[in-house]
Amino acid sequence: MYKKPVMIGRILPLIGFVFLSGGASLAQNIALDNLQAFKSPTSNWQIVGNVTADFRVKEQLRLQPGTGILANQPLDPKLAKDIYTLAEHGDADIELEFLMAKGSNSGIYLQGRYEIQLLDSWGKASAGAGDCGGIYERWEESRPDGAKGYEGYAPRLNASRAPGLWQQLRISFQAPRFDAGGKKTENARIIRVQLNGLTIHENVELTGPTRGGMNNDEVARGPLRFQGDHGPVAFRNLKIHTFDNPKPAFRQLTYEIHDGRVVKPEELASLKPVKKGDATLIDHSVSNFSNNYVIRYTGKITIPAPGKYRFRGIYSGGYGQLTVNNQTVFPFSWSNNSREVELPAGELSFEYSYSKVNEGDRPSLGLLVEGPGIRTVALHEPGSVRPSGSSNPIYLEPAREALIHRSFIDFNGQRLPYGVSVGDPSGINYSLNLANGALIRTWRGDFLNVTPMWNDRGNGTSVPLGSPVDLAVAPQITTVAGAPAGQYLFKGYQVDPGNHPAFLYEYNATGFEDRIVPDDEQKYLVRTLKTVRAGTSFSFDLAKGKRIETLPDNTFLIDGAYYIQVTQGGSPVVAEKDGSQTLSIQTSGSLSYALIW
Amino acid sequence: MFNKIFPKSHLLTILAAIGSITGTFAQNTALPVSESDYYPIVNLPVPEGIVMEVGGMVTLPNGSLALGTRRGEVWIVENPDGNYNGRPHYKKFAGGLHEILGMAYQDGALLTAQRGELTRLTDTNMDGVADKYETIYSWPISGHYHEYSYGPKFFPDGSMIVTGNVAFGDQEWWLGESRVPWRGWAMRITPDGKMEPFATGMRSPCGIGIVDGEFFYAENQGDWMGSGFITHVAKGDFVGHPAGLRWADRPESPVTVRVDDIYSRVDPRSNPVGGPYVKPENLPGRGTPLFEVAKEVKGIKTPSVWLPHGILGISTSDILTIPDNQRFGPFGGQLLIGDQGQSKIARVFLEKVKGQYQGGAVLFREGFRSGVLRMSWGNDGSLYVGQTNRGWGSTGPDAYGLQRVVFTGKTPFEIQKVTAQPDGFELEFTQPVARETAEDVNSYDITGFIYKYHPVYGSPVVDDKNCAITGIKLSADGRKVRLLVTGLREKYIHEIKVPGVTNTDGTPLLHATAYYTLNAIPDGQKLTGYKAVKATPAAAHAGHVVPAGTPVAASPAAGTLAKRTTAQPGDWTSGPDQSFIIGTEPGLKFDKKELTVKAGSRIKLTMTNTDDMPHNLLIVTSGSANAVGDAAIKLGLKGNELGYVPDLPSVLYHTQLIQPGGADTIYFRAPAEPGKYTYVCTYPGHYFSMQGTLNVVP
Repeated sequence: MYKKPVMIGRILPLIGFVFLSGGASLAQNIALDNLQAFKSPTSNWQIVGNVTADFRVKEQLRLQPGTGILANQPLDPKLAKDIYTLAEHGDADIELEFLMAKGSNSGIYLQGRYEIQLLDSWGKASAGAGDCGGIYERWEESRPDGAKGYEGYAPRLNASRAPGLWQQLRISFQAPRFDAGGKKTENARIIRVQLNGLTIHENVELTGPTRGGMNNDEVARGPLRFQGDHGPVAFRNLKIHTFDNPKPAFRQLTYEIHDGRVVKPEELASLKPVKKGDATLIDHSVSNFSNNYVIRYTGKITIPAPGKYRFRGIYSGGYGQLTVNNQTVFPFSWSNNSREVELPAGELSFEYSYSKVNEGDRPSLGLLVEGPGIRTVALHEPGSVRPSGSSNPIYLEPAREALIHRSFIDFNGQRLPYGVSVGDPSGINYSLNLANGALIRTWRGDFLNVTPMWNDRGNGTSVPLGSPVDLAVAPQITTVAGAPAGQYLFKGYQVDPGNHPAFLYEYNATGFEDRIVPDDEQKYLVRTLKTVRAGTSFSFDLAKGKRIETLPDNTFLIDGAYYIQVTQGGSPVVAEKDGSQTLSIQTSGSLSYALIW
Repeated sequence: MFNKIFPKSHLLTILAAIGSITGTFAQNTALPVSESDYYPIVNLPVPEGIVMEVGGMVTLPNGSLALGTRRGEVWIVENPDGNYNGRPHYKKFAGGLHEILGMAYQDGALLTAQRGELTRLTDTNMDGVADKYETIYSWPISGHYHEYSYGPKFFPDGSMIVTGNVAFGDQEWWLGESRVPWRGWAMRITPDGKMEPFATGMRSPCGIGIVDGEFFYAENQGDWMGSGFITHVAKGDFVGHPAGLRWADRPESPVTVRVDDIYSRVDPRSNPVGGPYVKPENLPGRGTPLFEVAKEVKGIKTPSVWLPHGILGISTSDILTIPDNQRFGPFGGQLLIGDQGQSKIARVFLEKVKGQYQGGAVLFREGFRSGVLRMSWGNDGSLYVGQTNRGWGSTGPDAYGLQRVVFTGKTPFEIQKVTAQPDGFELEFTQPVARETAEDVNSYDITGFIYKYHPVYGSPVVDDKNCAITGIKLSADGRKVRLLVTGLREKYIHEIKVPGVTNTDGTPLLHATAYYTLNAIPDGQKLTGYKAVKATPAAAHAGHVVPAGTPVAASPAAGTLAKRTTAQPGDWTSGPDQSFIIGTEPGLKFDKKELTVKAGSRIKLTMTNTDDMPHNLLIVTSGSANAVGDAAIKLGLKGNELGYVPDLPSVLYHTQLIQPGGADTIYFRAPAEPGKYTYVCTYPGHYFSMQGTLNVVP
């Protein structure tokens, strides 16, 4: 996965690439049309078309026929066995979605040996190695009692969703390495695990298989294994990206330096170099000029296998141009670029030019490539790309009372200048757009990273530390007293002794009081909206989604991502419009609903 | 707080420097004096863990202090002066606001500007904590980091003024722009939330004040702003930065100036040339100063009092009127102007001539621990100073601080004020002066100058001309000196140096230079009965320095290189032995803290400035960096022209002054003597933190 470079102000042009995977790798989408991808599956495993579970009902999955989902329904625990892919993997990125029944337990075993635990850990204040996302402990019978289990690693925090919701898991794994004699030379390694978008492990070395591994040996390749004997669970969108190919490398790479300002591609053709030399990797420091110069690398690049290759160029403060195999990858273009091209295998021609013209930027030149079966490779010297800053981060956590924090909020590619986030000591947090009263985001766990706003000069934004459920930014109140909601006016908020705010705003001069607090068990949010003048009717959009499913007790499942349960104010309706669905309610005076995720 | 030694040593530097000035000019052996003999600075203890980056401050009727911070907290400090053997006590009154940059009190509530709104905070149940956060008015904001909002301050009718910074461009990152209505404007807001756009042309209006019921604001240098200043702002005024004019033709706007009025007279130079936008750099010549544009375009307000850049500050931050009594010394009714970057306070005296405000400025107090951002009078008569450099760096090395200035009761010998006269100036002193020094023409030196009005960040001093003093008349009480001056120019700043005048004890002035902005020369009686004088030419001017901006090309022959050699010397046939590129980091830092070179080797060094303020790089002998930095500040008006490079033997090599986005490359021979040398930026306010070590190894 590729994240956009983070920029703090203009002053620190940070190039912070974070790669989870090799992207255009040899992705094996494990087709869940049938069970042919798996080794002799037992009867608890089946392919289905839809799965629903209710967060209130223990160990129950409701299955509907069809394809696309691998479901485990262990009706007879004695017969229920784990399932293994036929395919074996070494270095690999695994992406999947899973759904747990209430109280269920499962796991993903890398190479059949190293387990990332899956569990219904919803709402637990802290998560251990045995909780969802944990790297399960190793086990050694010869150790004394109480110390038999060891080297289990808790997730950084509990990023679990409620039972019945689809959760996203991404694992980046590096297999153990062995010499020709079969002796292990390097431990297996969890490069990264992200649960529901949140990084929960990074760069964790594993000294051996975890408890319950298929074998206690370690191997270069092994199958992916799903635990099936501990409770109902379902999987979908299963992808295994393997990285087995050799890395691209340069041959006969040379550079030329040209002294002068080049801002048009045609000028590149007539450069008069003032210096030439051989190189092994790309490095801007071959030039001694500070600005207005061109570095051009030419040579060959070995491409191990035909397929799609993604190049990411870093060329700060100027223009770059990249051609590979006489194909233009980046046309002469400003600053950084990222493109995918189709390449044949072989030694291909390579030319990469950097025209540095903006005095205000320091030079930074790099090139990264990923391709079929190839994890991202840097084709530049480490010092050639300016590293991102390393200032101390600033985090914000509520202590005895709730914290209210106003800031700019970046949401869905938009900067919301009137944002507020509220963090409860229970770890139930949310953000509201004060420009229209929309509840835009909820998350559980740690509260806010405020480094972007408080470090150095700051850019005024804060970022959730947990795994957020992003809702919608549109106004939710749509009509007031039978007329369109009209002019919005924010009036402020009043806080209770626990510092929970009640937001006050007006639509068409009708006052609303909006209070959002954790439920009594501190697992989810309860929102209560009242008109200041009792009894005023209004309509309210509770949720929008592609697919809204109706559950018992005024409860609705939105895109498998969160639940809405209306507890006061009437019964909502689902309306279909332009291929999406809206859950809305017409009410009078007050409305109360729970948002559960 | 985390550095108790640094401020002390800074103070010593100042004392030493002041000592040397007095040594030069004093006619007898009076003991040297310093600011702290009259106005000592006292630290307020702040509990560990509170990041007191003060953005708003107001004294409450009960004597407590309300402080608002960048982190959005409001702290009430009870017993801030620690009287009755007590200690200041801090209680958190409110939190979670989006960057507080102003604080006012009214009817039991605190009012504060957040980034996007004016907020009223009320403690309705009297438990000492705000429970009602009321939005009075929410203004448009785009979400750019530089869109700070300041205020409020009260007009006599109870309405409030708030101001807002401009944003910067994405590609044109140096260019102030108003992305949404009323950025770069002052807004007038009634307590019930009605807003009227009031005036525009502001770039960074951090300092606002109501003086005698009129709105004044303080500006920093930047694009279109040659230097800092304060000015009176009437409804409908345009004060210089064109960004806010984007909204001037809206029906609710009282501003009559239009963008074309400015751009047709001063080229904004914002066209992309062959690709990316090119940041405009200073062009030779004086250009068209703002006052000349104002002569042709109605509705432009020029500064009431310029605060020369690098001398009386680099980022003016607050305006506060000294109470009209003697509790804080002899300056009642005058203004104090805070400065963030240089951690100092200037004093301003205003007068109104031909309907316009004008006046002069003198340094009041230096040596605060961080950037001076907000000031408030304590009920005990002392001056509370809330401080932060907010990530920009400041002469005071701390990130934030809370201090107060106490008047000892001893009156310093100071320029009380300067007033414009039909044919010169009158200088009033706080104490009677020694007649022989006051009647000596060589005790004075007056130079007029102006700043450019252009899309470039800041300005050099231009059009500077010395004025002749032809007559002097001392008042009967010995406290006023009338100077007959020729060559005065309206709208120009007049630097009035008074190095030679002492009081009757022989003590020289604590601050011997005033900067008077002569917007209008008053009518009236010409001076009579004066002593005619003529300056002896050499005495009045300091020795000349080779302007650092002039590059010296290498001589083809081997030999000693000039301190700034910008072309590779001809005898370096195999090029430099080592090349370095040094850049900048935010917070006044070089990106490399250490360079190691071989003694006597050939070095090429490029300094690139990726910051948003100017920098230079001087290689100086070990232990001399602070003295060189101090000497750079003392270059005064010539500082900019000289690139803030003092002519000292301890300065071995140097770059020119590099504007934001610029670079400079110099060639030099590393010192023959191995050891640790220092490289330092001597742009005013920077040298304390912006230093690195040049290791010269055998």
